[in-house]
Amino acid sequence: MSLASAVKELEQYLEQEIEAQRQLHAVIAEQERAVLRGDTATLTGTAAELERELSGGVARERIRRRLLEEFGTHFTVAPRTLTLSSIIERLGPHAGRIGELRQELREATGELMKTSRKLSSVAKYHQGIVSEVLTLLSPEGGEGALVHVEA
Amino acid sequence: MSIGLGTGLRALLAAQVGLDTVGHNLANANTPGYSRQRVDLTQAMPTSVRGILIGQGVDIGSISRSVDNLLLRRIHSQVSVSGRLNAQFDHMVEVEAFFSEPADSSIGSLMDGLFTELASLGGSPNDGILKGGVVRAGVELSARMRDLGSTLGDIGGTIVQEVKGQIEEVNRLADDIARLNVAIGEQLSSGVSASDLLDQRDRALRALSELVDIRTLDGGDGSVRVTVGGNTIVGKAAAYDMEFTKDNTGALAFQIESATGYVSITGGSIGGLMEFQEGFSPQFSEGLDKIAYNLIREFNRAHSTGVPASGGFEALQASYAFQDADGDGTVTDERLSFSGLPFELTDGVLHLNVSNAETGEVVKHKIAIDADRTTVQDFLDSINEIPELSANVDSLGVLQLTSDAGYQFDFSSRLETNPDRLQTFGSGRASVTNGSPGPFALTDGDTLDVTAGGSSFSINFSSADFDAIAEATPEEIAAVINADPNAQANGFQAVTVDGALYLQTVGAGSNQSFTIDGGTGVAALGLASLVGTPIAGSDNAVEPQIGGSYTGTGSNEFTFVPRTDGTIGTTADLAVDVYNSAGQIVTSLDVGEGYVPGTELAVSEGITVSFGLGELSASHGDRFSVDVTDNSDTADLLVATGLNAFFTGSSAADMDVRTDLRQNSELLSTSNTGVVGDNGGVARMGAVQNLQVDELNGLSVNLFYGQVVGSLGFEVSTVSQALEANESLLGSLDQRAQQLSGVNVDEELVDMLEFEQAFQTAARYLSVVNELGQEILNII
Repeated sequence: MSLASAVKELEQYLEQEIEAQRQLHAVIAEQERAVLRGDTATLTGTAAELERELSGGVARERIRRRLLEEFGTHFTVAPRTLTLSSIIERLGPHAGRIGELRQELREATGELMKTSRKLSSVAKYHQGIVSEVLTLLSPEGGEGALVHVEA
Repeated sequence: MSIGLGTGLRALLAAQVGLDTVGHNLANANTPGYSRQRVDLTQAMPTSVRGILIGQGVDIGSISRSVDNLLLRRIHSQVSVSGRLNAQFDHMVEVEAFFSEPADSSIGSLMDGLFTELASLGGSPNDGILKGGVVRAGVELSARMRDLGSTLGDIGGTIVQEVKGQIEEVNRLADDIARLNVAIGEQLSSGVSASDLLDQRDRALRALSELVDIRTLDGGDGSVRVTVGGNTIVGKAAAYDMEFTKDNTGALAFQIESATGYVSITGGSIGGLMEFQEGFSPQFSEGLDKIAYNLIREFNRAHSTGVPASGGFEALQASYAFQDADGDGTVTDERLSFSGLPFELTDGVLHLNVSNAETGEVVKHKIAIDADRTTVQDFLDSINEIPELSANVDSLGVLQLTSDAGYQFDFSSRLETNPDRLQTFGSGRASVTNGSPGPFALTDGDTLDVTAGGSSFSINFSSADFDAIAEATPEEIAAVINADPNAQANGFQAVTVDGALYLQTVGAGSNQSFTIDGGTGVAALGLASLVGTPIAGSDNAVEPQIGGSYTGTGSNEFTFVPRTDGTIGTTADLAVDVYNSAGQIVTSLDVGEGYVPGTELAVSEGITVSFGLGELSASHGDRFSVDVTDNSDTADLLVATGLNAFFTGSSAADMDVRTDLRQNSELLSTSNTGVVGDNGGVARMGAVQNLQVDELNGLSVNLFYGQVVGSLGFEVSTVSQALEANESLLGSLDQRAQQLSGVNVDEELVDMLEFEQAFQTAARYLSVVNELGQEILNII
């Protein structure tokens, strides 16, 4: 694979990854709203959607590893040492849109991470408290004994 | 505080509030009227850090109640209906218990008991023990009537007290609701949940609905405005007191401080109590009074015209007093219909009999009553005109009748024992009439010349002795003749019989005679044909005797007139024609040859007559009349005044047996005639049991009572069924409200379990997201 082809393929990968990060953010934002509303159904529904989105991440990870190995061969460096900023620096004027896409990806991923961490924190608080209430109030006074009367 | 820490703290606080709310729900799972609460979370407003907006996590939006206000209003309305029906039902059952049918002490049983005692007495009307049984039965019935009457009357007072107590509760609840309105407004304006206060207010509104029918309107700022009968009792921040009062007509009414006029309350327990007080209770109270009133009247009608087995009365006192209706200080000027007597009088005739205790002779008298015109004094005068009888009204307005010593009186329809008391029918007296009822066209100064007792004298007629001398009546002429000193000195008199003027000697026997000699008034008196003809007496008197018992209805007058002159039992074809009051011949009695003097002959309708040996003179106008009647008091004067009454009083509350009758049952008027063995009085009292009374819808007293009791049972049953249906509907509405607002502990816990599972799932995926994100950031 020529270097030009690798650059072109990296640009395509970055565009996919940015889109995927934004999709994940949308799902997590919906999940956050479900938590705030106490909407169990939406919370459960968004969890399934999140699972679907995450399954697409495995294919993108393979593409990312393959491209890093290709650039490592061209630059005769170990692939695990490469970052997008070092690739841009080595390509110089041949970096094309990679620099621009890198910035977009950083922003999308940063946004996703922030929301995810916040939601994760809230979910943990809720889970802990609910778990404690259930332990205290369930008829058996212990876990796992609660059965919905209509179940 | 760092932004991240603040976000976490808000989430923790939100979760904590959620936990509190769940705990609150669970703690109040069994609290009546509690509405399930839920926490509405909201995203916290982001904060700006160096121009960048940073999210602040979660906040509590609000805590809301799960309620359906429309359903609550519907429930309040049904609660009001239930309150009304419950209040009515409780008291109806109470009244039903008072009537205590079919217990032995019920009015129905006691009435039956009275008539059973009468039936027993009918077989042995002189049995003192049986008479006592009748009186005792009357006393027991009266006592029960009084008990029931006063109890029904007391219910009215009890209900008034109950309503007053409930009005205090209404005012207390109205104050509570107003206070809660204010508190709810304050909490809402400061952003604090008012769910618990709203629940409290709903409970107060429900309690208020149980008492009165209310309408609730949104008063703004979380307040509720409550109206009763269209008048505000709770405003946005103030309550207005309800008061129990009387309206212009004196009827019980309600007023609310904020309103003019009276408030109509038709629902809730107060509405029910008022409906009971104004409709149900009077219906049965009046029904019982109607029974008592008509039983007293009909029983007294039968008893007052009877005679005790021991004979007539020497003195009687009325049970009811005349009232000074015009307030002039005297009762005797009152007209009978307007003299305050409890029972109505009608135009009619009162028959009054005076009997000689020694000879047994009975003289009948009739007093005509014009209810609207006859005054008490007129009536007293009529009685005082009767020989051997006097009447007066005491200072309390009570009528008292007294007979002279050796005489008795009664009001029965018994027959006159000596119908020819004036001896104008074949008596020993010399007697003659022209048979004309008048009037006679005399002129002032006319004379009648007579020879009697061996003297000749002239009787003068002056216009001063007549209302109108040109239309002189037989009674006025007889009065002038009887007042003449010469007539008195010579044993000459005049009487009127059956409307005709008779001239006769005072003494009897063949040595008694008189002759009409002439005079200027002879022609006017219709006596010209008799001038110069001696009228002689007889040594034998026919002395007719009336017997039997009148079986006809209404009143009649039988007039006995000989068809020819002759001697009883001797003269061939001598007959006596009997006329009724319509002037028709009822029968002709053969009393000539072959008739054995003293033999009873049937006249008509149970009446018999017998004649002694004597001479009858058709040419001298011999005749006598007998009054017969099945009702000797068609004016109801005895019932109205309570003379010889059995019962006293005029309603259930004051019904009793006459005091002297209670003390001496021998005064019971068992007889129609006073003759030993006569049970006519008992029979007439017994007949009251099945007597159809117009005022009781044509039913007998017993049947009407049965109708009242039946109606009571029907009313109770109707309300009971309505109550049951309403309770069922209310239960259904409550259940719907409970499904919406009630707390189901299991559901709460299951909801929490689902939350936990959702959180676990979310947390797991978020962890993956974080890992992947970190990986991407590492290559950037």
